[in-house]
Amino acid sequence: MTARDELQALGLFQQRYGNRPSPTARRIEQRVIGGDWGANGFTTMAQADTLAGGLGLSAGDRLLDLGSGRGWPGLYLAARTGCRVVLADLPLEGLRVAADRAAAEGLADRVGVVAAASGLPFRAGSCDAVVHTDVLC
Amino acid sequence: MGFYTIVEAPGLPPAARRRARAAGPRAVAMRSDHHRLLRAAGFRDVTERDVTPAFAATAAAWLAETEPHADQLARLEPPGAFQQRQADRRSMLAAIDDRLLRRVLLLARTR
Repeated sequence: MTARDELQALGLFQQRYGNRPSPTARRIEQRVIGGDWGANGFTTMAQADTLAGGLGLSAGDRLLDLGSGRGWPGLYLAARTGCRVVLADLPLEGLRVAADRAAAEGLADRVGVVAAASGLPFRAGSCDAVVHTDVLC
Repeated sequence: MGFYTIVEAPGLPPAARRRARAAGPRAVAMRSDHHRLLRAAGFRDVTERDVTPAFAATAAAWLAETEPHADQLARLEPPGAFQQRQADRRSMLAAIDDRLLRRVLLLARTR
């Protein structure tokens, strides 16, 4: 991802994540993908479960979710499997929503956030698994 | 590593490929394929599952569920943004139905 790509993505998603989803939007999301994470992609709840199973995620694992938006699916996977998760994305607006939700759901001690795309601040091998959903597409 | 991604169908003639790239997300036009990138990054045991039927169902559901609330949803966004997203969704759904776009789950391991 070039610096120009990053700026374009940041501009697009800052505005989207800065607005709280309306009750109607939440109901629609529930009906389409089964969750209420303020997402508008194609990963359903069942597909997130498939991802967790395919990676063998379990309690104690450290997961990195790239392009996590407001926390989908990383927060869900942490709640579902007991893993720790680092949510990475460019817009702070989405990460703030995700951090607030993590606190509200008692996940704060297993959830970290980092506002970056390239140049992530991790040593090699520091995560057990990495996920992203419709980011590199 | 595990991820869902949208790709163009293999073996498309040039005109169909152009339509797939226009209808899909920007990175559909990437020159390298995910398998090659994963192997180059040291991943092995790369497996791919086709989830295109679910992709089609979800794309259709977004359109069907949002259209009845179009006026309300459009007011929450900058002028034209909602309408553009709906147009993009229709274009993508048509490309899926015409077998130009696929969605896959890729899983790979490093150890």
